[in-house]
Amino acid sequence: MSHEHRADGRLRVASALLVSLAAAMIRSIDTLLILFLVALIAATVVTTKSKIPLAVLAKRLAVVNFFVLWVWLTIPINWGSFSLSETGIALAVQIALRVNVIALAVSSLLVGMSGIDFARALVALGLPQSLGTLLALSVRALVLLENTRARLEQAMRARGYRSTMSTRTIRVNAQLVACLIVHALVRSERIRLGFIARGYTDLRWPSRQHSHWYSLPVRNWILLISVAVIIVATVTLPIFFNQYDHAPLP
Amino acid sequence: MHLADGILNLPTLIGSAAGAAAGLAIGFRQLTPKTLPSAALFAAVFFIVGTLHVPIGIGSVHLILNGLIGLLLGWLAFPVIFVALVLQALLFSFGGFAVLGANLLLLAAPAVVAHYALRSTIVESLHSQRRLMLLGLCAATIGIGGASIIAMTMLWSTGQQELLNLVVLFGVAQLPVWLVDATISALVVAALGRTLPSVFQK
Repeated sequence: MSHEHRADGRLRVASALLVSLAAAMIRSIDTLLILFLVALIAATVVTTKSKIPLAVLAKRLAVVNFFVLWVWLTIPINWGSFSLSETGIALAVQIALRVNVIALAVSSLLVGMSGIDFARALVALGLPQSLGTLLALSVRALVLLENTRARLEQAMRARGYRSTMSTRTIRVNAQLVACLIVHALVRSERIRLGFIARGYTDLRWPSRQHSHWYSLPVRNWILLISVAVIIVATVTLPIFFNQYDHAPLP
Repeated sequence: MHLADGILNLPTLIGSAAGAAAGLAIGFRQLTPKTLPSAALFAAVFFIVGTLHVPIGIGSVHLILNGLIGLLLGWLAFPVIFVALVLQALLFSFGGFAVLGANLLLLAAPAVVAHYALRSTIVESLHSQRRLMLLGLCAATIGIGGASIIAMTMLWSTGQQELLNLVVLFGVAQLPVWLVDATISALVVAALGRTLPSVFQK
């Protein structure tokens, strides 16, 4: 999926927020299960079409499900009497489904979005310009400091350092963090002088502006509308079927 | 220390997002062309530090250092931690977007408290390594302790009795994190006091 064929960044971020908030509100396990299946199919299709290995998606899910593991270890089990609570199991299922729905939806809606794209979308959605500037500069600084960290770690390994559970590991990590902070401060001073040299005196973000909402192609809006329709349908369908199931027979 | 998306209910999410927005608004007022480069680089440092793992037993803990960031930046900790959390959510799926306000509030609010509680003392303690280490330890204790208390309050405020076990486990799980974070913060503050004392004098 090429960059040109993706929907507008603002609509993608708005859709991701809509799913996150809707999932946080939904209590019905049936509804969450349907949303989970839809999100799983969507994430698999989008990841495959974007030519990203499915292992990347699996790794993301593994990260969020580490937290779910804690939920399963604590909520359904009553450790005092070593018994299982029915309400606890229902709540754990609810949380597990919700966490996975959000992770899958965000993965598929924001696929291929860089920190800079995300910053542009946030600023266009009404967040302060200075936030965009800060995010854009942070992404740049991250690349620089990652290189510094890689260099420092290479030097540490060359001196025979191995990360183990010891006071030496703690001391070496503290030195690494202190080194990174000193590097960051020295570099920030150079960047500040560069700003002054270029006459940069405000916090506006010098990025190209987004097109107006009304001039966006219809296919861009299809994404947000589809997400809203799926949420409304998954919330209302189980209610409809429950009413149908409990209707008195003629 | 992240709360995952999907565990907090809507009133808690809205309340914490409002608190975080207020903190961000104050933080943005301190963001000037002079402070912007250092804020961006500290956001990158905070992000990278979050990926450093220290082995503990059969597992490992990752560093947080929100107390240290607060000690150095004050209210700027809000925008700096916000940016780091956005990048972590975007790149690694740590935390999430709906819960961004809650995670920001629980990490940045104790950072600001650490700044106001310790900043004036640290300037007077630059001559003593022991006092600097003690102040680093206090910053981490305020940072991790405050974050744990806010996170546990958020979980408790969802009003679900079954979550109480999770609240207790969450608190216990933060003990090794505090131990590592406090030791490293103490050593980092002492190292900065030796190599770049001006960082505490601005």
